[in-house]
Amino acid sequence: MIGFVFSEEFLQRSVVFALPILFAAFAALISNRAGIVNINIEGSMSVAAVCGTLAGHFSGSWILGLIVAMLVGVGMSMLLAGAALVLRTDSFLSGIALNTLATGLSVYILYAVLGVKGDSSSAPTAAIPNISIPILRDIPVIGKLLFDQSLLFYVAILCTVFLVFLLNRTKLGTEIRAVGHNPAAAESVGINPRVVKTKALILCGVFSGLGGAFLSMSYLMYFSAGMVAGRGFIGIAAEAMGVGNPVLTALFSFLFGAVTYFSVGAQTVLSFPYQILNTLPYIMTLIALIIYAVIQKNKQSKK
Amino acid sequence: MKRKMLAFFASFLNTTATFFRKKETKDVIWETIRTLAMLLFSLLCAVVVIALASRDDPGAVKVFLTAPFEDGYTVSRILTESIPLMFTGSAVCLMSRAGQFNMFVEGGFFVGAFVSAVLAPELCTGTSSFLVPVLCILAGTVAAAALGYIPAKLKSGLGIDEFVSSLMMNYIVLWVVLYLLNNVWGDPEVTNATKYLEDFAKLPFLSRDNELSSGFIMAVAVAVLCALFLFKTKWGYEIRLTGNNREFASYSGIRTDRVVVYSQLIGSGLAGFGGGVYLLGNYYRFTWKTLPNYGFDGFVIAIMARNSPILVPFASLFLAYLRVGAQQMSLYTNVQHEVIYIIQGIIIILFGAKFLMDMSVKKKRGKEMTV
Repeated sequence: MIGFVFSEEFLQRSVVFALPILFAAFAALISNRAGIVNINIEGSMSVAAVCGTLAGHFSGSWILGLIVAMLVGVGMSMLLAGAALVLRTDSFLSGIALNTLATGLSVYILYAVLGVKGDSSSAPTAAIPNISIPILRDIPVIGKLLFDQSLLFYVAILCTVFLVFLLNRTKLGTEIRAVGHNPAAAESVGINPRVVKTKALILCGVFSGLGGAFLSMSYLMYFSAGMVAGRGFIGIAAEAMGVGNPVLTALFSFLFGAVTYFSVGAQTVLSFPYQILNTLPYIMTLIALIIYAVIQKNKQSKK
Repeated sequence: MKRKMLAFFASFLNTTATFFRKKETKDVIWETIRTLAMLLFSLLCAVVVIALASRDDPGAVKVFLTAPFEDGYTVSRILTESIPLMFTGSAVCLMSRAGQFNMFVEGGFFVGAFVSAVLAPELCTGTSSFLVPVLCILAGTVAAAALGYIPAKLKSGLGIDEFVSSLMMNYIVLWVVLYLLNNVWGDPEVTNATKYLEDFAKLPFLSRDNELSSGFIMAVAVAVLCALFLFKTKWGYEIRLTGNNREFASYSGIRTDRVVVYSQLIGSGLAGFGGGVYLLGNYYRFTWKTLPNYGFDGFVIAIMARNSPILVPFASLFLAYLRVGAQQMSLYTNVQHEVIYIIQGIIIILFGAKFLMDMSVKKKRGKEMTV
C-alpha cells in the first residue's frame, strides 16, 4: 500500500490522470479571469474528444486529430459566446444548455460517422505520441515523471508558462483581467468587453480541445460516451482552489489527478470496494473547497 | 333605446380596449405569443436535426411528431414521462427563484428513489397497509433533503459556490448508492437491483391498461402547491425577494442565509419525493447504474416555465412529448433518441435569451428575472 503510493509509477500515472483535469482547469481559468462563468468545459471536452479521435482515425495522423479537437473546442466555446454575449442568455444557463447539447451531439456525431453507439473502439485513432528521453528517464524518482510522458504533458507545462506570461506581461492579459474585474470600468477606457471575452473564450476552447484530445487520443485510443466523467467540473474546482493563478491551478490539478489515480490504482492493491474509492476525488474536492473557504474567512475576519 | 345600446356597446369597447391596453395584459399576451413561437421554433429545430440524422429513413420525422399520439398507451407514456420532470422542474423553480443553482436535484432524485426502494420490502414484512408507500416516499424525501442540506449550509455558512459542491455531492451519492446497492441492501439474487416490490407497496394506477400511475396526480399537485408556496406565503415571498436582490432583502430584515438554506432544503426534498414517487409508481425496483439526468432536465423545465411552478406541468408535458416521440422514433427507425438532448440545449438557450426578451418587451422594466 505505502509502496504503491511512493512508487515511480504512482507519480507518473498521477500526471496522466491530472492532465485532462489540468486542461479543464486552464479553460476555466482563462474564461473566469475574463469574467465569464463557464461550466461548459465538460461538454466541450466530450465533443472535442469524439471529433479528435475520429479525425485521427480517418486521417491516420494524430496532428490532424489534435488540431480538429482544438478547433471543435473553440467551436463549442464560440457557441457559448454566441449564446451568452449575443443572445444574452445567462452564461450559467448557456453552459448547462451546451452541456446537455454536447451529450446528444457527441453520440450523434459518433453515430453519424461510424454508425455505432456507445464507443468508437472499433475505430482506434492515431495516438498522440509519448515522449521518452533515454538516460534522463532513468533518473530515480522524477525520471519517469518528467521524461517519460505523453506529448501533451510537455504542452501542459508550456501552457502554464504561456498563461503566466499572457496574464501578466501582455496587453491582452491586462485587458482580460480588467474586463473580468470590472467590465464597465474597462469599457470606459476604450476596451470592448465583448471582444476581449470572445478572445478569452477562444483560448478556453483550445484548452478544452486539448483536454478532450488527451482523453480520446492518448489516455484511451477511442471515444466512449460519458468518458469525460465530471473531469470538466473537477477542473473548475481545481481552478477555484488555485484562485486564478496558473501555477497554483496546475499544482491543484496534479493533486486531484493523484487522488483520482489513487482511487483507480488502489483497487488492485487494496481489497476495498471500488465504489467507495471512486468517491475519493469528489470528496477531496469538497474538502478542499471547505478548507479554502475557511482560510478565506479567517483572513477576512482578521482584517 | 338605440342610444342606450350604443352607449353600452361603446362602454364595452372601452373596457375591452383598456383591458388590452393594460400593461400586464399586454405583457401576458406578448409572453404567450413569444413562448408559443419559441416552442414552434424548437420543434422546427427538432425536425431539422432529425431530418439530417435520418437521411435514409424519410419516415423518421413523421414518427417523431405523430407516434406519441398513436394510442392511449403512448399518450399515457407522455404523462408518465412528465412525472419526474414536474418534480425536478418545480424543485429547480423554487431554488432558482432564491438565486440558488443547486444541482443536487439530480442526486436527490436518485437518493429518494433508492431509499424508497430499499425501505419498501423491509416495511412489507408483516404489514400490508397503504402506509407503506407513504412512509417509503417520506423517507426518501427526508434523506434527499438531509443530503441537500450539506451544499446549502456550505453556501450560507462559508460562501462555497453551491453549484460545484452540489455537483460533487451528486457523484459521491451515486457511488455510495451503487456500493450499498451491490453490497448491503441489494437483492442477493440479482446484481445491481433492489428486491422487487410487493403489490401494496406500489402506488395505485390511474389507468391499469395504460400503466399510468397515480404519481401523475401527485406531480401536478406538487407543482400547484409550489406555486402557492412561492406566491402566497411569507417564506415564498422571502425566497423571491432574496433571489431578486440578496442585499436588498437582507436590508429589509430578511435573514437571507436562512432563505438560502431552506430553499435548497425544500428543493432537494422535492427531488427526493419525486424519486420515491416515480420508483414506487413506475419502476418497482431500483436498477439505475448512472444518474438518470432528471435534475438537469429540471433546469430545462424551469426555464421553459419561466420559474413559475404553475407552468411546470405544461413545460413537462411538452418535453415529455418530445421524448416519447424520440423513443418511438428510435424504436421504428435508426435514429437514436439522444438527439433530443441537442434540442433540449437549444430550448434552454432560446428561452433564457434576454436578447429575445428585449425584442418583445420593448420597454425595459427594472430588473428582469435573471433566469
